[in-house]
Amino acid sequence: MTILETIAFETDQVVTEETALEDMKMDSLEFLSLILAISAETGKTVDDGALAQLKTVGDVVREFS
Amino acid sequence: MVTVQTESWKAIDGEIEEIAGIHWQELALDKLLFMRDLDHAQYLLLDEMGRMHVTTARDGERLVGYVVCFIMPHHLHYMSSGPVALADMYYLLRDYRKGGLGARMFLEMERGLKERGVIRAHMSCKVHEDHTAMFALLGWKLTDYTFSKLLVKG
Repeated sequence: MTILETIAFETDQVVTEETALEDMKMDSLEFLSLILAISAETGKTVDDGALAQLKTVGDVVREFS
Repeated sequence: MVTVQTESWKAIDGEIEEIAGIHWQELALDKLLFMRDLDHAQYLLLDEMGRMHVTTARDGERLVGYVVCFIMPHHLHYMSSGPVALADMYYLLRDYRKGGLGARMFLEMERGLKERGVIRAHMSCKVHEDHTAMFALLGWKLTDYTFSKLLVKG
């Protein structure tokens, strides 16, 4: 599964890389669970500062790629 | 688009009253005794002393959320340790509780505290607004139970 597909699957929402995180139906618990799921899927971790600055789905895809 | 960033208390002092009022309405206990009345002079003094750490969420220029901590150069029990952060308050306007913005404020707070050399941070939340699960996912450990008691008639 691509990271974009993981995001769509985990959040059960239709998203594109342009989708703003603030427009997604996702509270902080769901956001953190999503990050953990992507981290587990990709084997990659991202530092706090970078996670804090994520604004779009595309940002998430790029950070974990 | 909403942004998260580290700012000084001085930068938010002039605009915090509106959101602080909403925060107080939603979360404060014993409201008759504890009217919202921010001690701006003390906050500004502590800020000048380098004892404040403020993380904000802004929608454009509008302040929509904050996490405010006090910084001590060391815990008084552990003089040879290092700087510690003690939570003062945090809040995010209801309309902005989505997209993981709350978590991202805390992640930026951690980044900023680490940059300042803070070695441990202490956070708490209200029992009636329990964010334990979020803090756990952010890697915080439950280490203390905090109690309060009114010593006068409320």
